[in-house]
Amino acid sequence: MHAETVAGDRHAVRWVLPGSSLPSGRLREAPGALGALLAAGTLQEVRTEPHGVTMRLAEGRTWRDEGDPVRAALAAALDEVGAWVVEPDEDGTLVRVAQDVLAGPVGDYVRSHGGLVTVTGAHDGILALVFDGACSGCPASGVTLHSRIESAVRERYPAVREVRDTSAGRPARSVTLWPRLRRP
Amino acid sequence: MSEHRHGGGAVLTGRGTRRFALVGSPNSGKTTLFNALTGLKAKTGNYPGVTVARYEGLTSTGAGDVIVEDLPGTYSLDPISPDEVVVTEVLDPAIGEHGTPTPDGLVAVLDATALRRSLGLLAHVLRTGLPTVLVLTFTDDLARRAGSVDTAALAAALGVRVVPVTAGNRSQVAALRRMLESVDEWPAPAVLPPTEPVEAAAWTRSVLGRAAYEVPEVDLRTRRIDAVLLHPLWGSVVFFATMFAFFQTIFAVAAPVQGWVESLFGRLGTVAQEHIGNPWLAGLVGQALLGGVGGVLVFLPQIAMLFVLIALLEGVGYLSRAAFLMDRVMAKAGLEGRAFVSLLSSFACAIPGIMATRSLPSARDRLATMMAAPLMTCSARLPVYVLLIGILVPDGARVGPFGAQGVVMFGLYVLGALSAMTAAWVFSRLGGRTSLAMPFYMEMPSYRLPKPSTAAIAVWEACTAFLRKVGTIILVTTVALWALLSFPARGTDELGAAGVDPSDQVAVSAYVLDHSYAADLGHAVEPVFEPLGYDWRINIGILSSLAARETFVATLGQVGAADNPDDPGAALRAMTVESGPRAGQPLFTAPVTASLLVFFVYALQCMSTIGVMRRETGTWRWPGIAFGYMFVLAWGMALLARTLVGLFA
Amino acid sequence: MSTVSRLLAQRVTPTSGADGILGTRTLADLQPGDRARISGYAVDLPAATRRRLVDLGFAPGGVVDVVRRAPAHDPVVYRVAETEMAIRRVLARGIHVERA
Repeated sequence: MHAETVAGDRHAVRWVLPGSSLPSGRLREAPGALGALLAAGTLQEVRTEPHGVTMRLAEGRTWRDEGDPVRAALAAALDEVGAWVVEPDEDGTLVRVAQDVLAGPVGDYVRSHGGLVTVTGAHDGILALVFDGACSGCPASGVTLHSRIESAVRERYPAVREVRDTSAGRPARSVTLWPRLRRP
Repeated sequence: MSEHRHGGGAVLTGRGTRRFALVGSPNSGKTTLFNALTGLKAKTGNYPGVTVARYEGLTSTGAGDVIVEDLPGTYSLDPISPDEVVVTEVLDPAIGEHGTPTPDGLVAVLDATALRRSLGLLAHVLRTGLPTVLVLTFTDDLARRAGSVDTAALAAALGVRVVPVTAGNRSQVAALRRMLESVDEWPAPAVLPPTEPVEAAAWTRSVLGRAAYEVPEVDLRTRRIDAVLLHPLWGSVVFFATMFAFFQTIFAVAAPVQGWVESLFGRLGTVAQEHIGNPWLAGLVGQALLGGVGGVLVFLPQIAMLFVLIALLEGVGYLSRAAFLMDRVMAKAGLEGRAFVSLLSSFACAIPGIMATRSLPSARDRLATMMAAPLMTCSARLPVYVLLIGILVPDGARVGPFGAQGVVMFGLYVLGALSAMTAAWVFSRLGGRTSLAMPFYMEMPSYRLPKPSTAAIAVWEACTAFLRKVGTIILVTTVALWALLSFPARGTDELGAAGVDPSDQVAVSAYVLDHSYAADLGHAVEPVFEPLGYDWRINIGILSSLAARETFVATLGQVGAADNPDDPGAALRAMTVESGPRAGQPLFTAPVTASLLVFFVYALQCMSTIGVMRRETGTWRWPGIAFGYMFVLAWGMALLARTLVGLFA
Repeated sequence: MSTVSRLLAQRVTPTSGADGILGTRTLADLQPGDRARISGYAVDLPAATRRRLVDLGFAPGGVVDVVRRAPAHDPVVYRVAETEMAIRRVLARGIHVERA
């Protein structure tokens, strides 16, 4: 596992857990030291996604101090995923993942082409996006751009079924490439 | 901006100037990058308190000049040798004061083809908390070997900027320079990486996965070359052929250049003597100064060649193979493979050999190699050997198909090498049977074409260092020698009273020489050298050679020229013993000449070597021990030689 | 001693008990061309040596290939973590391996 910064939130960190398969939502209770940190409020908010856990530290605490103990606590808790109490929130997690992806290098790529992509919502594995700027009225080659967003999202949220362009003035269309060939 | 070159402290300092350090493992391409950034604007010095070389230079960025420091290569910040300790101390802000200022930013140089192992060092470096940027080298090699990495994803996974830099790509180096301007904005990892082995391995796997790292295939080119070069039979053949070519090049290629230098200085000397009216000044300038400087410069071609060859072998990657092949042999002498490079260098001059011991992690190995290095037949012994072998062995004599003189020369080389190995073994044992903290290990890097500029810079630095060290000592010695041989000067009355015609230059020089201070010294040490068969004239030669071997030939030449200025060699052969039981007999008999040769095989006759040993060990103790044991050894072996040759001749 | 060095010096490396009882396989027992996975180190290998082996790529869980041997079968070149590293037999004897 390794930790990555979360765009726009200095107190948050996303732990990337390649070997794990977690439920998506908000962590309420956990075994061992992780549960203790959660209960004590050291970890203000913990959200889970299939291959990662995003945590925010309470005000006044720094990751320089808490990084090592939190890592150890998380590693120990991962041995007992069954005991995790997660308040499910599939749609919310998909939205968060998509927003995170758009804040990163994929989003930079979109913006470098003069485009603007916003997440409007998600439901049941279908992600709704609005394409603006140079993206609105974009030709077929824009599909490549959209599939980048899709694969980046899918890497973190394999259950995504469809990425839909819900831009105003156009019929809602799926920009998911080969939706049936890919398995979550 | 000020520059300090004394023994400790930063080489370059300057208020408000940003300082960066390059950190990475050996073979990561760090030094090539350093040269690309600093060019020839690099200075060398030492870290305070330790004999670890320090390289600092300036590079210009949009925001002005910044200092760049090339830290010693290391695999870890858990150090096992002095140079690794230096790296950890430079990187620790808490230690940062006395002379090792903490860098403002770090440039971690990692080989993209060895990313899995290199991330271990990066984890340690990130742990220091200093602003860091990652430079990925050999990305072209990675692609060639069907590997790949997503540098943007790698940067996201690590939390630091990643800059790929291929050797020779100026725009990439320029991109790095621009990066150095904005060190205050460098991103840092959210959480510091773990250090415990299990967690660190998991961290590495996770990061490499995120970066879509495609593992490079085995470097087939290197594999195929190694199949030959490291083959038990063919590898050894190639090795010896390389060594042989090594020496042939040093002596054959350098020889003509040496000839030019010699004749140039000879001509300068004659011109000086003709044009300077005052005979003393003429002698001082002609013989002492020009002779001294010439004596040093004569060796420069050989030394330069040695450094060039070693730089090339190292740049290609063959030196680690040589150390690998020689490790077992070195182990017999209590050393390890790397010591081989030191001893090899000592064939040209013990000074670079002694300096090369810095690469040995074990202090015991360093000392043992240092004590042994002067026994390797260095090039300063050559003029002496040539002179004495010419006296000992007739020109046309043959041993089987080979010239007898060549055979004797080869034998002396072998004797030197065997004695060095034995001495290393003895000092290893004396150093204690402490189990090595870390037995020999060596990375076998991919074979690469070295950048000519890197080799050129390395050679330039080595040559200037050599000139500085040796030049002063030989110059001082030659001048002192000249003075001792030329004074006290004799007035015409004195000459007349002794029956010497003041207008006969030859007779006057002979008289002055016979009654000079040097002659007094030569007579004074007669009891020591009598059993070896030397008379006061040889003694002067030996005494002068204690400072620098090459002066022996000059001294004997001066002594011979005093008797026969046209053919000093003939004068030497014709010399007879003046007094004592052998009076009237030739001085340079076979047993005496042989003992003199053997004396030169063993004695430590080089103040420069002693000076360098003092610098490398920080004390006079070890050079003193070296001088002492080698003198005793030389005396004993010379006596043995005289006795043995006396039985057969 | 620097802060980071002190931290790194506390690293724990797994050691296995006495060799030879059940014939724990070590790196020294392998032939050129063999592949194995490192499982731990011999108890008599000093801790600093073990830590350095980890830093060189001979880490527990890592895969190692035997590449070639020197003429006297010592040292031997191994491939670990995509790099080639030569170590002496005395070190190889202290590295325990299992089937990859």
